[in-house]
Amino acid sequence: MTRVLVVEDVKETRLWLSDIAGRAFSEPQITEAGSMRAGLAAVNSKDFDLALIDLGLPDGSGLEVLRNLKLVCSEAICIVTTVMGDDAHIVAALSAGADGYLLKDTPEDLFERQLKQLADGTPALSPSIARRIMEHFRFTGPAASPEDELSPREREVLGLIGRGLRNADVAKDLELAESTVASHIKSIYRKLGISSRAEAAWHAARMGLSTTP
Amino acid sequence: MTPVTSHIGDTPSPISPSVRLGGVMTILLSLTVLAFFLALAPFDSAQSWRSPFALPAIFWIPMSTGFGSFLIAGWVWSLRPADLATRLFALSGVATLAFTFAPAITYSTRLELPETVSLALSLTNSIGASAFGIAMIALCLVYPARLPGLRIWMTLNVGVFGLATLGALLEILPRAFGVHLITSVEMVCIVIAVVGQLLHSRRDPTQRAIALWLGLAILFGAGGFIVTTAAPSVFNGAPLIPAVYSFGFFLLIYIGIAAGLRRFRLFELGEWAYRVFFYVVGSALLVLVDITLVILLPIGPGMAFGAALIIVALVYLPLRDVFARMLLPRPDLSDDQVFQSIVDVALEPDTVRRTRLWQGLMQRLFKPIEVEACSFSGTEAVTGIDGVELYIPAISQLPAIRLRYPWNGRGLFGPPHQRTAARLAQLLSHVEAGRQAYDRGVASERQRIARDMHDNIGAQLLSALHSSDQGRKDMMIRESLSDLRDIINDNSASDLSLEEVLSDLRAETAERCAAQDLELGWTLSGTDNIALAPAASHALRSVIREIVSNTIKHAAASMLDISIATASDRLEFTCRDNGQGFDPATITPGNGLDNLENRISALGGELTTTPSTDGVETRGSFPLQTPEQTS
Repeated sequence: MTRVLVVEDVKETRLWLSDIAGRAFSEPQITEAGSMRAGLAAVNSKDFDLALIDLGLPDGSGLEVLRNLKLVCSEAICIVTTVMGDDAHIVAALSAGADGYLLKDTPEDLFERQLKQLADGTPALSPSIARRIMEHFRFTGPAASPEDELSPREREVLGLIGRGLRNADVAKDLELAESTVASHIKSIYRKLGISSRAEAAWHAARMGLSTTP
Repeated sequence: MTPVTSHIGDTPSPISPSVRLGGVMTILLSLTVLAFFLALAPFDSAQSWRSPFALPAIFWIPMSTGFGSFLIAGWVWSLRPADLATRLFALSGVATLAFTFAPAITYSTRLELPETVSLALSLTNSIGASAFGIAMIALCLVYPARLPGLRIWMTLNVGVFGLATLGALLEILPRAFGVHLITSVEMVCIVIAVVGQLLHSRRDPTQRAIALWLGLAILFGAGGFIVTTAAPSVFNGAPLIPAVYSFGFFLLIYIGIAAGLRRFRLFELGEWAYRVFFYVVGSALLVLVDITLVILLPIGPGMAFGAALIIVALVYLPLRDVFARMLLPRPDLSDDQVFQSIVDVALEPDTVRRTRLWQGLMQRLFKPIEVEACSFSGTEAVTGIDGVELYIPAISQLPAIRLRYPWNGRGLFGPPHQRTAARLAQLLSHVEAGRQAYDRGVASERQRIARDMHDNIGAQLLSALHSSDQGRKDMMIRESLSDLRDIINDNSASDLSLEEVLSDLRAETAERCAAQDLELGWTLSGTDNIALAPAASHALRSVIREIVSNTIKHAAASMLDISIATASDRLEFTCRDNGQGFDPATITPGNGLDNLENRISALGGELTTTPSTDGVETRGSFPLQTPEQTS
């Protein structure tokens, strides 16, 4: 049984998402929320295995729901669903712990396929987001420790994805197993979160909000 | 409007103001030393020298009055020696010195002065008092404006009072015509001259302010003396306050005038007058302290000079700083405020309001009575009519401004104000230039968004609306959303390579093919450093998308090869599948193939579709730059 949370303010889209989730998983238990408030309430009321979260909600950001869910059940797979795919917002969501994102205008069959992959723990990145992440690491300050910076292999993976290659093509190109590419991407997500938190802490310290220098 | 007085520097002199002031101070200090000598010297050898602290008030008060008055008058004169007004003012200072030092010596010395010396001192006192009045009347006749009928009044002034004084002194005139009476009448004449100045300057705020300030200083000083001392004596009454203290009134005149130098630019002098004063007084103080130390302490001249330097540095310089801060002008607005205001002016989008803000800033800075736009065509701020006006040049769309009668008519514009205005105008034009660049940036960004929207999204949504095929409708709406994403993320930005521009299409195509177990070959060649116009990349993308859709839907292929290459300023692409192909005869017009051809021919290119039993090959090419895409 899969417990799925769908947070989406457009009613038709919410139904469409629930529909797909219902087909993608066996015996799913789907909870729908139409606002940030409802999403937060759902998160507080029970645990979820998977959540599809829209970022731009009428009463706030889906990021809040995402953070809360990650806090109460860290195992839940959080997928950001977006239509505009504003790169900056997606990178922010990935930094906040999202496990991936899907574009809501993707044809139904493709969307279902990608959703299943994400639910299986196979992350995906689109070329423009991969480029954005590379830029993020290029322009943020030096990481607190060297292991928080991207490894050369991870850079290679990002570079190929940025040129439009899928995970399988990247794996072929770099002569790796597809699962290795997936673990590289997960590692990139993790480091993105660390670097964003480090950056936030650095900013906070600079503005005197934090006692640690 | 008549010029206030002659220009500064009309008569260039080889002697600098500091040197003249030094000369004035030398005379003053010599006379002061002489006075002290006479006051302190013992009557005979049995007596010892008096301590300066034992001297009576009748010595100190006239002495300090004379000292201060002469110093201030000499200071003003040394700055503008060629001016009639300052000469008269200096003369009054000399007169004051005469009628104060003489009684101070007479009443405090213990020496048996020879008859002639006593008489000389007494005459000096009387002549000085009367000459003071004559000089002041003359001053009020010529300054700030030369009153009409000046010659007659001048002659009358000097003639009548001069003769009366002479008569009184030689005791030709009746006893009632004492010097006190003459000085009282002189006072009345000063009041009349001041009123004349006020009347004469009623249309000129600058002169009026000067006349008022000068008049008040003189009336309070000399008037105070007449009312408390001279007038009671004329009527054989007792002075209202001890005569000794009434000398102090005269010092008031000079202090008042000294204080008004900057604010009202009395005698055309500005803050530089204070700088000269501080400099010369500082030097004099150094010498004085040095001499005092040598005399009083058993130390050598070298050490004394060093000690004097230290004392001057520790005492005089900080004091001078305090006075300078009090006397030298500080702008009412801080630099921060001025800068903020300039930015506000530059960033105000409305021209009328911007003009108002700019003029308002000038108003707050200089407090002129008149601020108005004018047709001044210079590029630098300049002053006019001897500092009554200041012209600010036009800056971009802001008109030139003429400011008149600064500080509510109580001052004049000087070189520092001109410099300030010029600097602000320059700063404003810099910020304006920045704002215009920003505006251009905003405009070009808006243009980009509008163009991208118009070129693609509008057309796509319209064709989606009018399409009866549900599949096509969905596809076109998806395409619109994808274009919208591109616009938002600025994916058509020129700093992206063609490979990057097409990367999303590649990823999407690969994803679609993978879902159908269709093997995708994707080859890009010669596309480095190629920038594709947004319209072209949109067209290319939607054409390839549709070809892929056709292959997936109809071809039953297992392989799809897409290659994109550039050669001789053209972009060429080929899509080949290994599917079942189709019979051109079965294709009805108005379908997707026509649509593809139209999109490519709109870019000035061509598209051919070659079906065969081995699959379908679609070849297309279009020029990289078409005339309307050069923007």
